[in-house]
Amino acid sequence: MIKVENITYSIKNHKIIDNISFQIEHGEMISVIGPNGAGKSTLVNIIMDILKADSGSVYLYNKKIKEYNKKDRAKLISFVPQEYNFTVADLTVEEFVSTGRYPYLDYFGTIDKEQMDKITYYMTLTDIYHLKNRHISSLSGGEKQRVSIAAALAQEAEFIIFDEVSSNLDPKTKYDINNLLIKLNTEKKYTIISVTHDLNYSLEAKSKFLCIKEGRLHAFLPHSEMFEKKIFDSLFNMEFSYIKYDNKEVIIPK
Amino acid sequence: MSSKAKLFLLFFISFIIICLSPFIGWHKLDYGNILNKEMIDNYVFFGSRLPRVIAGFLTGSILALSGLVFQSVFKNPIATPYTLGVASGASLGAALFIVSGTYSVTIAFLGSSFFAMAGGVLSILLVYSIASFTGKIYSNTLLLAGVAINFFSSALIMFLQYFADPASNYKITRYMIGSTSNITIDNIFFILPVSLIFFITVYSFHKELDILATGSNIAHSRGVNVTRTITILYFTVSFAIAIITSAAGPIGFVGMMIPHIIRITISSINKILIPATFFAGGAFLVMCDTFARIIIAPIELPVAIITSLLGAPFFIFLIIKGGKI
Repeated sequence: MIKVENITYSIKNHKIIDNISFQIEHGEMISVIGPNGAGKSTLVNIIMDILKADSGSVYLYNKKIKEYNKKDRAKLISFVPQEYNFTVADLTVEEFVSTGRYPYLDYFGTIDKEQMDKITYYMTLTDIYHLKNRHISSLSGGEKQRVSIAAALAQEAEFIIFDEVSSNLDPKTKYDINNLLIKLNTEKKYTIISVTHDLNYSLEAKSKFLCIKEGRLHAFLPHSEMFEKKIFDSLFNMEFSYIKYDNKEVIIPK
Repeated sequence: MSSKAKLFLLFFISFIIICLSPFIGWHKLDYGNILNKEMIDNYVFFGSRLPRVIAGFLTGSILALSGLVFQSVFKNPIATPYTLGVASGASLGAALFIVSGTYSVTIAFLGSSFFAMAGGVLSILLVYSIASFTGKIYSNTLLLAGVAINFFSSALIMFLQYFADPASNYKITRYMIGSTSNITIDNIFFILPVSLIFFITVYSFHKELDILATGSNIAHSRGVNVTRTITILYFTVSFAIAIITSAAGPIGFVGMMIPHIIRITISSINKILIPATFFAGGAFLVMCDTFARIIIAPIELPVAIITSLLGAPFFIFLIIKGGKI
């Protein structure tokens, strides 16, 4: 369980996050949505303990996240960013996925059979095992995201935060990555918190929507209630058409 | 060939370079006389060349490994051990000594190494204080503060040079072309334990360096104590650089290029990269220093001229061949 309690965060007297509270339960699929600059990334950075809130607290199982030992925290919550920096460290796929085992390794970083089995398992799960000896710089955008997800999974944390992981991908690759996230949630029971602009994917994943607007919590509702209350319209200040098509609910701008 | 096999091959080549170097030079050694304390060959071998080889090896290995650490911490492929202004600080100290040394007995007694060391340490502390002003140490604030101090010290050196007499000016310029011939036996006894502690400290962070190079937030999410890691590495590297710069002056190229060459030819994973860079840096500087001693013998060139003259074309060759940095 992640509990966010009265979080406020300002930069130079400008409130980026304004008194936000909510609670995420184990096994939920959460989509964090909202206009650009609404404070989604800041919120995620506060949950990850990268940024310190001016007031309020984030709890991970009844203990404040900032009170955790860093490695213990990493065993509970992991993070997949939009992009990595590979200009200096062009590791191989297997080497990079191994970095996810960091909180479990001994002082010398020994990768024994038990560790290797786990690394192999997560490469197989994300369908990148055949790339294991390739250098990351040689991979496509979609392959890089899979590698990045595999490394986060190797942390074996039940909560995973995704920051716009499918934004820069072509439709097919995006579809595959989104399906991988859905599979991780439904089959592997990971709790997924995904910052995204892909509203139709979030609807298909039957997410609960955490809507942020101008630093405030605009709504926190299951997908089924997003239509009747016209939350998307008020969140983005525009009108959407709600369509049922092929057993799917989709929205398109009017 | 596996990267471990390449690492051993590199150890072997480095070892051969180090062993051969003391036998090469303008004075033709009579091998039978090397162990005879009465003979000049004994002094040339043990008193002059061997200390210089050891000094060159330690200087090169510290420079190369420092460059590797800074490139990873700052996620910047063109970072060098001198990017954060340690060498400029040390050079400023040395320049201050050169222009004022003749006026005071106390200053003359302390010597240029002391002044260079003080200049280096002062700039290390100054950069860290400026970077921590924002409340938390981030690699980019450290980088910006370092670059600013670097330019500031360089400007002060130019100021001193502008008003200095020609003799002092010559000495300052000469100091800023680094050379291992300035390193004394006393320096070596100091640098040897320093380089050992330096290597062990950096190596103990090999896992953290792998992750840090891909991004500070990622490192944080994996459970790395980012602030602590950056702080320890910053001070370890900076003090080591201040010590060798105060003894040898700034020597370019080794710190930036050797880590890249090892990444291209051996491995990017720090478990292998760190020892490989350490040995390659040392062996490369010994090799360059050997050239510096013989190329226009009996006159010696400062090694800093050779490192770039020899290294840059080789590095360009690797870029063209590998298609990447």
